[in-house]
Amino acid sequence: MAKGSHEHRSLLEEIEADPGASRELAAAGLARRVLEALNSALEESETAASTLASELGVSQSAVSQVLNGDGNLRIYTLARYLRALGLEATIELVPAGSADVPVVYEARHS
Amino acid sequence: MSKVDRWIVVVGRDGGPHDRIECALRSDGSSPAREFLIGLKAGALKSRGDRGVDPDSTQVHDFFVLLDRMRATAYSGEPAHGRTGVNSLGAGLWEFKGGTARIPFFDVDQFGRHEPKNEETDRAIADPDSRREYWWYPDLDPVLRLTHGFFKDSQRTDQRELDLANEIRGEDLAHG
Repeated sequence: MAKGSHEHRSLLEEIEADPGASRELAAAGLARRVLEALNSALEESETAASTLASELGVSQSAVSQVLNGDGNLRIYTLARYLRALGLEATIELVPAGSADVPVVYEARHS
Repeated sequence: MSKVDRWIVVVGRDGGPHDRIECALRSDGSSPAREFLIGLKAGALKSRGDRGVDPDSTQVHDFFVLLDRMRATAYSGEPAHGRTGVNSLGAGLWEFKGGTARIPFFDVDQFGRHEPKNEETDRAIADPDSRREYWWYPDLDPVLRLTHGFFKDSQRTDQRELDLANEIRGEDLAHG
């Protein structure tokens, strides 16, 4: 995984070697991926945030807070948002440290 | 000139767009970005929104959000969570965002040379195939260098923070 040669351990490697800190980083990572998926779904559906808010019966600022937040939203909220976009989520479990495969980079540069 | 040793935050993945994200150095060898990250991780930084809590759990939370976004950006070459995670500051400066915490950065090539790159404004040119969600984000060079950190508490970025980022960038690049 290490790219090039570096004398010292990086901050990320230090965090990943610490069980407690690595759990916090994993939580931030999952929250980000959830939000990236939700924002992609919204863009691909070409649904306006105002339309989504109307569909869900919430304010536009509430939708904005979810879409631009830190991703720590309730699973029920995620499910409702996705369903309003005609989607559902499934969960795939993978070994720790392998979730951030650079899919976007591959798609962009293929 | 002696070898310059910058603190590495994230090492990129083989075949990925970035070699690493590291902290820029001032002329005196200090590293404001490193100091900010260490303080944020400990929840021990002073900010205008300081709640007098030590450690400040919001800061600790934002540290992990920031580190995750830096990791994702280093691995993918795309801004993690779009403009929510990465923003252009203009003049070749960018910033990572996590909560109210901000860390400006700039890019250099494998030889340490910096050519300022700004946000794309014309989608037809930047993304002719309309494939890229973050079409406004340019291909940055392999190394991203963090200048310093601050807490943003208003709509616009404080000019003093932009000036400081620019100053640190100049001092860092002078190290070669």
